[in-house]
Amino acid sequence: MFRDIRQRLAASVVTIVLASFVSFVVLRALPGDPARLIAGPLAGQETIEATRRGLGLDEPFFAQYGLFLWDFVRGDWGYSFSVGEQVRTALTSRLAATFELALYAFLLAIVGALVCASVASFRPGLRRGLVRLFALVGLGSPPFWVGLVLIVVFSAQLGWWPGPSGRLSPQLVPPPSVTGFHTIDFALQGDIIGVSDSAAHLVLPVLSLALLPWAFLTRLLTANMADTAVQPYILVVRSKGVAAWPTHVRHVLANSLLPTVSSCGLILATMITGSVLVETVFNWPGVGAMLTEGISSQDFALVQSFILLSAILYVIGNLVGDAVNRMIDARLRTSGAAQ
Amino acid sequence: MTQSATVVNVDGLRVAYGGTEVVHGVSFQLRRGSRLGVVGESGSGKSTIARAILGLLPSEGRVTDGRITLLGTDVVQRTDKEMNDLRGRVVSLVFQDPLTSLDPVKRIGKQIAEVIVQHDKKLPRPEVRKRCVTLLNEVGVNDAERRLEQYPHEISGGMRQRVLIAIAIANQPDVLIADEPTTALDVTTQAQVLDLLKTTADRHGMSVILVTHDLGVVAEFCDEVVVMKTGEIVETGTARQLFSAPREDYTRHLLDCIPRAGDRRPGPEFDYQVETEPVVRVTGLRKQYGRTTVLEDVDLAIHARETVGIVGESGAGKSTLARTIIRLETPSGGTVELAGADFGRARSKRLRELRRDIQMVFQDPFSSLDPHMQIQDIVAQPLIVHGLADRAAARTRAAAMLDGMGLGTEYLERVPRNLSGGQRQRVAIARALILGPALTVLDEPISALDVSVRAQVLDLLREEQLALGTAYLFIVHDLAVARYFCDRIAVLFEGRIVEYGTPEDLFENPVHPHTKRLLGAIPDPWRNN
Amino acid sequence: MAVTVTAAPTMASRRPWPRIITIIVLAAYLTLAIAGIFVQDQSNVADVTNTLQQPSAEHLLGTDGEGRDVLTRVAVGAGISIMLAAISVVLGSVGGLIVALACGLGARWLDRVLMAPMNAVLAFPQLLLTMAIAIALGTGLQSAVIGIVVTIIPVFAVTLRGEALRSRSEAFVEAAITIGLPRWRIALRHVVPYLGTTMTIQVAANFGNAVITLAALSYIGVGARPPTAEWGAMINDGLQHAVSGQWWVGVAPGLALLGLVIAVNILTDQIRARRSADA
Repeated sequence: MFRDIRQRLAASVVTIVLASFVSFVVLRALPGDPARLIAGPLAGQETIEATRRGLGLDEPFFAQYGLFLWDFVRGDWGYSFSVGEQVRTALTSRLAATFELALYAFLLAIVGALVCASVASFRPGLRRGLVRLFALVGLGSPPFWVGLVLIVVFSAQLGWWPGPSGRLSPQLVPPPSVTGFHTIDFALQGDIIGVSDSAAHLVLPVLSLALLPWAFLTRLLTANMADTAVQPYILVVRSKGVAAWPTHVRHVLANSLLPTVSSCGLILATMITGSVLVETVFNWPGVGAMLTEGISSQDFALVQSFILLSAILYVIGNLVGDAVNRMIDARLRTSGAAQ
Repeated sequence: MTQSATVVNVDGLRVAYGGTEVVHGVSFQLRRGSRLGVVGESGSGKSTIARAILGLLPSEGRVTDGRITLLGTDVVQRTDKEMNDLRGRVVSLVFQDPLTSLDPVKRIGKQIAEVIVQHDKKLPRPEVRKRCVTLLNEVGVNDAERRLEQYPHEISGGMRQRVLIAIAIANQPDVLIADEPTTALDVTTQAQVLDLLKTTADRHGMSVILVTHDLGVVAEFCDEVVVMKTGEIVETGTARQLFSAPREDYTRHLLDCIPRAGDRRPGPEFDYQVETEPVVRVTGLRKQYGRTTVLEDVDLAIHARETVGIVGESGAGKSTLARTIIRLETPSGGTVELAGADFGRARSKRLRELRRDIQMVFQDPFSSLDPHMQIQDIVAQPLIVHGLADRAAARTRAAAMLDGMGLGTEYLERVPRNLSGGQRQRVAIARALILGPALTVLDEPISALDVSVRAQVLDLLREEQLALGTAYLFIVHDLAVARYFCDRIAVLFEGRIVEYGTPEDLFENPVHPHTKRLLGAIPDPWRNN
Repeated sequence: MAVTVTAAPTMASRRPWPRIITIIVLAAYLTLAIAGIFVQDQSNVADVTNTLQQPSAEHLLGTDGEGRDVLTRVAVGAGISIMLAAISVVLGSVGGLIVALACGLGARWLDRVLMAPMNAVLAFPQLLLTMAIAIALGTGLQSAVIGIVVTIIPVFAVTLRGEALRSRSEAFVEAAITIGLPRWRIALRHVVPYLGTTMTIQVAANFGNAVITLAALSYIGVGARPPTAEWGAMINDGLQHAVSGQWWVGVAPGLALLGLVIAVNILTDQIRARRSADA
């Protein structure tokens, strides 16, 4: 088992290195002047020259790549002219907002998908049809449009929850940062108004961000459950006298979850891209919104670091999904050892 | 036969999937303590009946008419909830394919305990565990304590089947339904499992319904038999009467398909007195995967018109031998000489040329024909590949070949999906033989077919051999078939040939203990009945 | 001999309605897109006297902030989305197929060499890499398409490679080997048709994704340049009017996109269902 994980780990490192190469190539080898791209459209000739030297653009190709990699590993991700900060500080200072959004969305997606898929595979007819429709709509809607529709309905028309106004109402002061999550930090302060205000601000963005992974997981789980339900061992369990619902929970669900865990990385990916697409809709002060601004002002240093970081995150996510899968599923454990 | 002695009474049962009726009014009784065999080919509806008795039809299946009475109560009228109380306690199931009949992510112990706890919720845990151990011991699983902690993939197929039996008998039900319980097992394991089923059923006074396609198994196991065909009962009777004096043509036909001792395929015997040069000579053949040796030191010489059978249990290396000789696998050592040429070491273009003289018929005719090609093109393809004919001429010859095999012009433009299993295998044979190869490797060519077409395919193979003079290397697990069809038989055991001789030598005077074990396990319908 | 019935026929596969409805919807989108070509010139005509009109008989989907007819722009957008998504998917699938055949049927080393860059591309969340490529090549629909193609190729390559590898152990491919068929002819004659259904499913699924990605790129601002009536750009434009109550500006193009993607996804499901029914 450990040998197997070591191999996967090695493969992941190789993939990350290759990914860094891809992100390097995209910037340096494509037509256009990288120094100009990185320094930004408003930079003067001197700044561009300085950037060119800093990037080592006079060096041979692979030396440039080595320099790029070294800088990245050291944590020197360049200067973002659109934010006016080092890329690293810019990213880390906005991470908490994104994490808070993504974590709630992640939980909603998983719990929601479990409920939907169970309903769909256990109750044929109308309810199964509704779940299927939900999955189709969820998979077909771009997250930013979902945000727009939610704002139109729940904010502009019904006025239930705030629309594009960030994490807090303007009259409130952000709580002292402990976890970086406004909901939790307010709760630690015992500030009920703060908790409910920050929670209300979370509702619509969380829904917009969660819909795609929710629908995706629902679909995946439903398909897995349908496959599992017709397996001979389910018939054997039923022949023992176990009723339909306990059979579903004990055997169908358990066997359907396993292949779902390994798509953990994919969920992570939808979260990352989702936050890029959703945060601007709600003026959410997170990493995604910053990236979108960076894109419109052609801030390549920011964009490059962001995509490389998300690639690393994505690879790690896949690795963790795999490892968890192995831990739960005895078959994978021993087959790995046998080979 | 009194009414009270009947534990299961199926009366005028009709079952439909969606709008299609698949069981058309079936009636039979299972008497207390007896063992009833329900025999039929695929599509006969036998498994559907088994599931109907348990009240566990697939979701689109419905009992449209008739009654199933289980110990006096009607199964069809009962709700699912009421049935839960009966299932696992009064009636239980031993299902086919032990590989997929146990939940792969749950420990063995948990799966046995489930059926015990289900019907006795107050039983304390240590007590449950003790009963699990007793059960495993009873079904002959050694080291029971340890097995409880294992997962299904960690134990062998035969042992999994034993665990399934343990689950089925856990609450000592009155009725045991066994659906093809031994189909996926080796001959020797099959004999053991049948024996186990029989003794446990006797010990606990259980009545058994055995659903199977295999008449040999029925003969070994059952005292009464129901023969089914396409959803209807063809014949009912005691096993003795059925095997000695079948009343219906269909039953007789099924019985005729089982080769009996003394039966021999048509055509002259191979004359070993005449010295001829073999068409294929295999010397010291070895095949390794990594450090595992699958074949070791295999020598074979096969002559024109000769049929050499390879028998052995699964895992003995039969298929690997076939695949290595035909070069789907590269030999790790030794030589394969084909009509004097070094086939075992030939490469690329030379290898492809030599393939003209050595062809193969695969086990599964459903997967060995390209689903996207027309029948005529499948058979014509070898001729075109070797430049022996242009497309038109090749199609003409293919048509003639197929016509000789009973597949007329109406089949030529069909795709494989629109043919039955037996017809597909004919196409596969035509494809292999159209080149007139010196050797044809037959890898279990009849085991994926329904019983009633097996004999036809064997006859066809023999006819073609007599006409074309090709030699056969016949991989087969069924010893009765090997005795019927082969000139010489090699017994493969752990990758080596442990015995090699004519069918008489082998069957009359087996030398190697493994051969003796194999022979002892063959079910013989006429031995008891 | 009668054909034996082994599997129970399911009711669902017999019903023709879902398929008919899907095809009608897709045909409607094509009609809309073709109509869009004829009204292309009007799609960018601003009318300052007529801004943000509610949906009415005159403007079925209302007008946007510059007084342009939303329905006209949605129709033009349909043409852009369908055409560009189709181009991306065709290029991506052909590229992916070639890589997959080389990997699945060729030598080990070739497989390794070709799969490494594929995996590297797959290591990125798809949209982000597409974005980066589009930015590097300069804003515009062309860059967006190139970005999508680059990220789609590995998706096809990996799926089809798996199938191609599986085909190697299919008995009919082994039969072709024993007949003496050269490898490249096995690939063309037997393996490519074998990949057919998977390929169709992937094409349909990726078409839907391409439509969404294209819109997302334009929404962020690296796809279509402003006056172009691209759905994603229109949604972005509609965002500023969402809070003030002019919902139709942003909702209409999104609905059009949703309908198209749903129709394509249902079609994908049907192909998938038919394949598993055949198997």
